[in-house]
Amino acid sequence: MQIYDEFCPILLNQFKSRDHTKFETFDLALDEYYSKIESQRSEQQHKAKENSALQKLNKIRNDQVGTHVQTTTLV
Amino acid sequence: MSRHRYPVESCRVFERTTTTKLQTALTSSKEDDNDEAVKANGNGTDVSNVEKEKQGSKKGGKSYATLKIILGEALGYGPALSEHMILDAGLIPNEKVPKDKVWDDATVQALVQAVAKFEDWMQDIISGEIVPEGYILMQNKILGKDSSVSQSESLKQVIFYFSIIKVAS
Repeated sequence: MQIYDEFCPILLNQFKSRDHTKFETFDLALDEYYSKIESQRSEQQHKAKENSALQKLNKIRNDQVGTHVQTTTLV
Repeated sequence: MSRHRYPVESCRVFERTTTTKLQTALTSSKEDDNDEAVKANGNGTDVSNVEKEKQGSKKGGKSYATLKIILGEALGYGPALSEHMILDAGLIPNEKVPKDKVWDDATVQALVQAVAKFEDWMQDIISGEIVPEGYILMQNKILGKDSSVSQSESLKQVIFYFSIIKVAS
């Protein structure tokens, strides 16, 4: 998914290589930007939280697997 | 723009940049420019001092500014637009100012044309003749892809280990 970063009325030369969407008028670009930026940001935060929770889970899972392998080799 | 002081003293009614104005701006020294900014600022002296220090540290102590900084201060359009115009002119924004501060004619001519091109566009916008197009730029980084891969990898590992345990017991 693409996340909006900023908007401008003229495509600056230094930004030409970046991903961008062109609109017929500046007004249209602003409407589009502000209608979606809030939800995109909250979704981004939500995803970051989800990822950190998953990482925690993975860490615990790896720990558990490690101890299981240890006990089985001991037996 | 956020890393730069807002050029309040540059607020003015729109007027075209003439070739002579651009030439004087390019040949006047950076020290003079900064002194002027301090004077015009009055109470905000510390702000421009901070900026001066920042510029100094960026260039590793050398007292020569880059083309981008000089043009940004001279025209009052800010660093982003000055970089745009320099690139339009086919020049390098971070090019150091020559020691004698004399730019060759081709460079100046290219800059004059690029500035004129931008000001043509701006004049049309101000007069309402054209409605500017809009551009939305996307964020560069895409997060979360590698973590989902590692998750399924570790899941496979878990299944693998449990199958070993089952065989062993």
